[in-house]
Amino acid sequence: MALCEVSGVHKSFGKRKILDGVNFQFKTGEILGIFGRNGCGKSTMLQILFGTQTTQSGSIQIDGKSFRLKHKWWQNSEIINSQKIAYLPQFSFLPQSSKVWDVIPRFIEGQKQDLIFRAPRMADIAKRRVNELSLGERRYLEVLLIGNLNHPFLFLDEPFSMVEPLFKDLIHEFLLSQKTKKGILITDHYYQDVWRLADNKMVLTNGKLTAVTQLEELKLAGYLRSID
Amino acid sequence: MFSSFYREIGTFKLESQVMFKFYKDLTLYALLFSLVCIPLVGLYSSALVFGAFGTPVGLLMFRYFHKHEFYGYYNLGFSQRELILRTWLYNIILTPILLLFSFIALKIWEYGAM
Repeated sequence: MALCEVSGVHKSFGKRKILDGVNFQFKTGEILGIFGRNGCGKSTMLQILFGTQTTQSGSIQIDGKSFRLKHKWWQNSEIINSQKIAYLPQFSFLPQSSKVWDVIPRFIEGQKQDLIFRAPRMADIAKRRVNELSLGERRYLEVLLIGNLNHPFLFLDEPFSMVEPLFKDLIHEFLLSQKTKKGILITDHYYQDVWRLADNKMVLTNGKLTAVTQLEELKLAGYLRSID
Repeated sequence: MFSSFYREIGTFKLESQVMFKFYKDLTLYALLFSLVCIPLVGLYSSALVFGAFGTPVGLLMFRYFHKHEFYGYYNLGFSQRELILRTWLYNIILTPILLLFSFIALKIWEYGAM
């Protein structure tokens, strides 16, 4: 079992403070859901932890080993090199003109590719080019690719965005199957999906993360107006 | 012992495929840039332009058209710096070969003209 500990992450854009000492921890076998309004810094936080965004201060430890967060743009990300965290960005990162069956072997080696090729609804998706896929199909493929990497932690930024209910269910099933061996952090505005999946939930307001256990607390934090 | 050996071969193969994909995408722009330079600086110099400036120009184009694809490489453990330096190194190694081809092409052209 691996533990990911994040402490004291600060980030400001000019005078605007986005993250003000973010602390949290989660471990493999756990899904952590993070909620927050648009522009509150959820994606920035994930990018800082992954190492594609700089931070003013903060640290991350995985299994007791510290990894330096990027303070200057020219620094290399130790997290990327260590392959401890896989990160699904908000946008599509797949080469648009490539055939899906050419893309899969670039991410997954050997027999593990079968896990993707034989996943539900993949038979049809695999034959096409990435730019021929619908937004939902592309997102599903991206989740499968990133989720099947060997990294112990998985950060998902809006995995349910523009995804039809049937694909959402498949993503739910997939993430639950991965939970046994990975720690998964999800942030998405489809809050009901995240709420249903997550074991622990936190809300990001005014640059700080606070644990929540009831939907009512999301309302109090100003994230929801009403609860459906 | 054999299983770990095969696993390392598999990882090496995967990394080579990934690196080649980046190299191919970026170098295509670098080659196009050097081709455009031929009428301006000549055949020999455009081969040198390829080695010296092709990679940065290719990188600018890659960042413009495929910026988000970097996240795929990051997830596979490649940093942007590593990808760029490796590509630049391969292109520098390729430059003398391009110079040789330029030399042969010019000689054929000269003999053909005679």
